Amino acid sequence: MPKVTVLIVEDEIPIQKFLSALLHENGYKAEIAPSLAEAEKITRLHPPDALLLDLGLPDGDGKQLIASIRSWSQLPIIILSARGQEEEKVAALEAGADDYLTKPVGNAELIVRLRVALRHTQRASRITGKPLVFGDLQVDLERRKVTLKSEELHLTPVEYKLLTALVMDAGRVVLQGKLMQDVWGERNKDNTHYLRIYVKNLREKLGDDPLHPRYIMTEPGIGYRFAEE
Amino acid sequence: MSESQDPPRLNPESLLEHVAAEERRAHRGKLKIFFGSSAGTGKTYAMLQAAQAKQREGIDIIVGVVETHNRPETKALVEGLSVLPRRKVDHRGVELLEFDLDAALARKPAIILIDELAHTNAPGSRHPKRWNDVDELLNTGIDVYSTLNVQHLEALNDVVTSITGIAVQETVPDGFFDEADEVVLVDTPPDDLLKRLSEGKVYIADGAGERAAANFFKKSNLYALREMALRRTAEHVDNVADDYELSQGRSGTLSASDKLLVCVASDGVASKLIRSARRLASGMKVPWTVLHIENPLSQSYNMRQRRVLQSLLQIAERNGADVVSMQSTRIGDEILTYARQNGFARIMIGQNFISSWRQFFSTSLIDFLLRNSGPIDIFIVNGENKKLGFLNGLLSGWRNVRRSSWLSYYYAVLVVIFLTGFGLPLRGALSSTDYLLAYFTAVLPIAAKLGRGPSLLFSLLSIICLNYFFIEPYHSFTMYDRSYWLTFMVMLMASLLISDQAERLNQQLAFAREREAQTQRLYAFTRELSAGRQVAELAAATVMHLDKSLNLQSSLWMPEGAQLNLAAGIAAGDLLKEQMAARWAFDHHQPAGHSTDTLPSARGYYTPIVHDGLAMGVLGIAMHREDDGFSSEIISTAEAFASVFGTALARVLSAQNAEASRLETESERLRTTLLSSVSHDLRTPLASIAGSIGTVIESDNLTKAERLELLAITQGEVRRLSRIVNNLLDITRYEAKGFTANIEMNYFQDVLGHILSRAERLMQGYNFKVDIPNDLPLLSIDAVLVDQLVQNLLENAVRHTPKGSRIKLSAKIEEGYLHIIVSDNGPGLPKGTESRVFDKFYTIHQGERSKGIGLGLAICQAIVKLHGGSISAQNLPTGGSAFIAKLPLVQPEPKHA
Repeated sequence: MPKVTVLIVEDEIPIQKFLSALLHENGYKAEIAPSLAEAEKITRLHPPDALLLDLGLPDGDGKQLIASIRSWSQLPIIILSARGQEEEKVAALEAGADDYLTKPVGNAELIVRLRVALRHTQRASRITGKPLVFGDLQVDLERRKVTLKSEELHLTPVEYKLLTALVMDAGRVVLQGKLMQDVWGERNKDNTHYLRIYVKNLREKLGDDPLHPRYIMTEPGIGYRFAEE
Repeated sequence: MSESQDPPRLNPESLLEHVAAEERRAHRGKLKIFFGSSAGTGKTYAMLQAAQAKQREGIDIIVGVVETHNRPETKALVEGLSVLPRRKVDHRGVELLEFDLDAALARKPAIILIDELAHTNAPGSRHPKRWNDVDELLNTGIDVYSTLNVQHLEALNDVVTSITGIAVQETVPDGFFDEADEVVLVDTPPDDLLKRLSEGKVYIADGAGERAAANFFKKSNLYALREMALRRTAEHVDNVADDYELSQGRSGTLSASDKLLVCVASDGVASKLIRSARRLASGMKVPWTVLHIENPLSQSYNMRQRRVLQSLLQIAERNGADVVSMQSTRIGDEILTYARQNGFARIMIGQNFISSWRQFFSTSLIDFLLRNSGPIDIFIVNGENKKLGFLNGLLSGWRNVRRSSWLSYYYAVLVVIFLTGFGLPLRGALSSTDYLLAYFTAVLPIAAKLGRGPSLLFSLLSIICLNYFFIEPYHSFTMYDRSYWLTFMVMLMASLLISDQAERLNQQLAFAREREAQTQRLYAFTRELSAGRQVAELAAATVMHLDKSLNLQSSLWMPEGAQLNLAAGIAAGDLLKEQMAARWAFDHHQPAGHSTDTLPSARGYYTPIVHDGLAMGVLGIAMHREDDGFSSEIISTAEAFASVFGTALARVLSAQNAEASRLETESERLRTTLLSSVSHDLRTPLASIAGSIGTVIESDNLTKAERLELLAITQGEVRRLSRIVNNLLDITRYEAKGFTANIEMNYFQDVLGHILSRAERLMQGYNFKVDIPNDLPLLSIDAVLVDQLVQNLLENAVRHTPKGSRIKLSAKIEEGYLHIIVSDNGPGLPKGTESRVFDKFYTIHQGERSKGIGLGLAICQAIVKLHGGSISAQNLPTGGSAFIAKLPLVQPEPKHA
């Protein structure tokens, strides 16, 4: 089986070096593009299986590359960004990036996120598949049935919509703006307190302690992340 | 003869003025005028020849405007010169090609040719006259060549009109002509000129000009004009020579002790007075001042006259006169006092036949001046409207009187009816003289109280009633005794005189009251401004007070970066045009807009607010009705307001500067602390990283355990470094101007969940407890910032307590605030440091090495402030310390740290 290829889009040589070492160590093949132009060229000629993208590149805004790739491919894109750039992150995620990592990046965390992102390429096939299982929790999207410890949970339609929106992207961050739009529609996009209240209710029904959540993790300023299968 | 033997008297004032003028001239472009006696002398031709010669010398010369009038020889001379495209102006459907001033300013050639200096620009241009354009070009240092005919000189205007019988509308002030650096007389003998005329080589203004031209181009006229042109050129040469002598320190003939004072009012004679005064002053080479003195009692003179006078005063100013405006009810005294105090040797005044018919009854101003002037010479200039005599004077006096209300007329009629009704039954007992006396007595209070109209009506009705009812024969208008007519006349006269005197007293009273009110308003305004602390406050107060006191629309314009923006008030009319006028006033430190020479089509009059030679803004005033002009007292009041505002503004700005410099010192102190504390904290980890890595790379004999230990040290130090750098970046960001928290509805528990997922490693070895109630409501907070706040508080607790200590995170709602409390049972805070721990770079030294750079808690404080909350630290009575952050449950508005 051929190795999974990850394209590192990064202009700092030390970071290129350590990222490719880390990827090799974990069994991936690493390629390097020091600029957006180079990255664009490589992705078109030899599409990689995933992209690690630094947002601060010398020849432009990484968001442009995301948009350009998304016009023809769903390959996973993970953003590397500095601390305190929440708006940047949200913008990149809105442009179509799959996930983000905040520098300095923890090695283990990077590999976990990369795995999750790669697994999601087959998401489309999962929708028609079997019930999704998260520990004691089972979500059967086909039959619209949610069970916790084999007992059926009674969710309101809104709670159910919210849960599906989260579990469809399990393991990945879901922007609160996207959640608002998916569940309440365009008009109520900015009434974030709806979201907070329903997440609280959903957590209660799932038996989730907000201080130590098992299923719904909060990403402050960005959105929520549902636990992996 | 050597001059040192006979040192001429030098007037320091004129020398100073000369130095100032030279200063101005040094930056100013040179003006060369090709001057002729009439059209067709070849001025344009001569100018183009000179231009060609300059071009051959390699000088950057362009044609701004040249009218070739399609003469081939002139056209040929334009060839080879670069020509500035004209500006197209649409004036009532006719397309006019005007000189493009802005293009010329942008092009900035060394020399520019501008034909026909006296030309009037199309309405809506920046300046009304072409010579204003030239003036602006000169001010930016561009040299100008121009052409001018003698009949277009302002001071010669009326002379030319009297010689040729043709009134010339387009004029150039003599002062502008005199300031030309060079005047080249282009002289063509009248015979040659007439010959050229017959050959069709002279351009005659189209159509209606034909007949006028025939009158104009008469040999006698041409000789007279030529003589004037020659004399005027000679005078210019004289002036230049005077200037030269003055600059050499020799006194010219200019003698300030013979200064001329010209007194004008808004009446028909002002125009002639000013022209004559200019000729006299330049002939005698003395400085002159125009004193515009107005009796407030004759305030009702019409708007048109007022505007004419304003423009006359401007003409005088352009021609080198000082202009002073004042108001007084005692004009004669005022003139003499002013002349004496300012050392005038001559007073010039117009004898005005229409000024007031009152002069027939009181001493005329001229008589007064002649009698009381002492050593001062009085010059009297005859008015132009001699045909207007007594009747017209009477009528104009009539028009000037305040209108009486209809009620007054009604009262007058009532008194007549009353008197007549009472008198009729007594007809047998009283003589007609008694009746006369009764009516006569009544007319006195009526005239004094009700005004002229009602008293005249009363007199007329009285005469009719007296004649009809009380003078024999009764019930007829005939009289046996003709001498009654005299009595009637006296009665009429008395009613006129008394009502007139009463009117004057009333007006004087009203004037005094108005003055008092004006002073009060200015006082109130000054007081309000002195209390103001904000520029916007001052601006709003200025506009409000000015609108109220003068009943107009004022506006204040202040610079914002490179822009000049409306800071308060309303710009009447087209904003763009008004802004242009204000901008011009600001840039040139001169008034612009309505009633000035710059953008006169603007609705407002704009006067710059200058303080210590610096333009700080512009004050604009506009009348509510577009047609109304500005009187000199409106303008002077507005300027008084502008000046008060300027002073207040300067005070506020200097206070702000003081505050800014205090902040500057403060940040300087911080910078020093930063350098000393951060440099140590940055260098130490770097040194240990470099050492560990160096050892790993260089040495071959390390055991695996040793190598791993060195790398672990490196990793720890790197974490420390990145924490320091992140803290530095964060505090800078949070305290930056314009940074606002991204406040949203959030549950505190949600945020905590994120923190606790990462707190495990941090809290290793500590007894960490979390006590958060389940029922915390939705809060408006910035989740990212609150996350960092709690994280920093926890890190701080870990850093300052030994392993095994109890650290507790709790939260509660109290008095509208969420309290986040991080407490420990560690050593507590050193006494007296409870409030200082939140200062930037404040660290508590324990042992030899500080445990951080003292930013963690400073960041907490910045975050809390961004939420409009507070943070405090205290030692607990049970030992240990507690840090309490209070965040308001409801955010009124975003806050800056």
